[in-house]
Amino acid sequence: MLRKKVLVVDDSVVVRQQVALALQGAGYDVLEAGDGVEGRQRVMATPDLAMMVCDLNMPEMDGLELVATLKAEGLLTFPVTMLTSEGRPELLARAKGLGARAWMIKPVVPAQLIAVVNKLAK
Amino acid sequence: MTQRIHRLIVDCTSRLFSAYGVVLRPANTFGDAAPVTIDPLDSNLAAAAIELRGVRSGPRPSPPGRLLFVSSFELVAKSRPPHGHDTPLSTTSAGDWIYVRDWTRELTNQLAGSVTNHLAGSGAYFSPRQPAALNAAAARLEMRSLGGVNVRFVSDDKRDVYVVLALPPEEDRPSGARLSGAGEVAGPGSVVMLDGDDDA
Repeated sequence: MLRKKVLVVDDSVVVRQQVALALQGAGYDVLEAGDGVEGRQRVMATPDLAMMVCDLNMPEMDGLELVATLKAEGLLTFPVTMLTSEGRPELLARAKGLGARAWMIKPVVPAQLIAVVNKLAK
Repeated sequence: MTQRIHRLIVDCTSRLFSAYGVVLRPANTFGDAAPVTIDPLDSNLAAAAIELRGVRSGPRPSPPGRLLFVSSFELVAKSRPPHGHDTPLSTTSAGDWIYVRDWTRELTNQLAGSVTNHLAGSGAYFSPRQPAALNAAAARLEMRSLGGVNVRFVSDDKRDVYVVLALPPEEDRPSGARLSGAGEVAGPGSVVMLDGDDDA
């Protein structure tokens, strides 16, 4: 059986490793991108993505810009959870308006991350 | 105000490092912080600074705040999350330094997020920008020029951590910073299901 593919977009290689380790242990294939621009390229090259886990504060293109771009281009065909250190209500509202399904506050709690991905991955 | 900031730094820093298995205890109380001196040639230092941009909600731009994090290669390496292998990091490896600088930036980013989330809970809104890793000379300059509230921590294996938080004077805050009903923000490690389903 094919493993579901989850894209992790975060500018920290340590966070990407942490998330990848948790999700691979839970049976997912993990793709990585270091910013929004690279994330968009990964999405375009991977039509069968099951989900995206996306940081907010990144160089080049931040997480909400990425989600907005994907939505505008008709590429947002999978669930998104934001994974960030920020939690201001207006940011959560903006993410919700763009179609993001969950907002997780760092530090990453692997069990919570896996529970969210298990619940949302298509 | 500065006493509240001191407590905020202690709470946010201790909690963040605790999540990564490192126990930090504040080594100074409010009011007795000794001047911090950084050796500009300290080749073991790991540091990062981040601007906290005031969220504009009035007719004039809000002045920024700034957060500085200073520690050592070993302390930052010790705090890294599970990574699937047990190879120790070495100060003599350029690749390991890239890794430690990445994690120093991310720790500073997460600390800034925790601080700004707490500030938002009391109606003061700041947006963290991109953190920048600093060498010892740059950290020394930053430390000398920053002002603000400075807290020294000591880890259980006797390693130092310094956190400095400089915020604009309260009277310079944007008018929106004192809006009533600001609402609580989500805390570290929490999950908010945006479609209203909270059983993840």
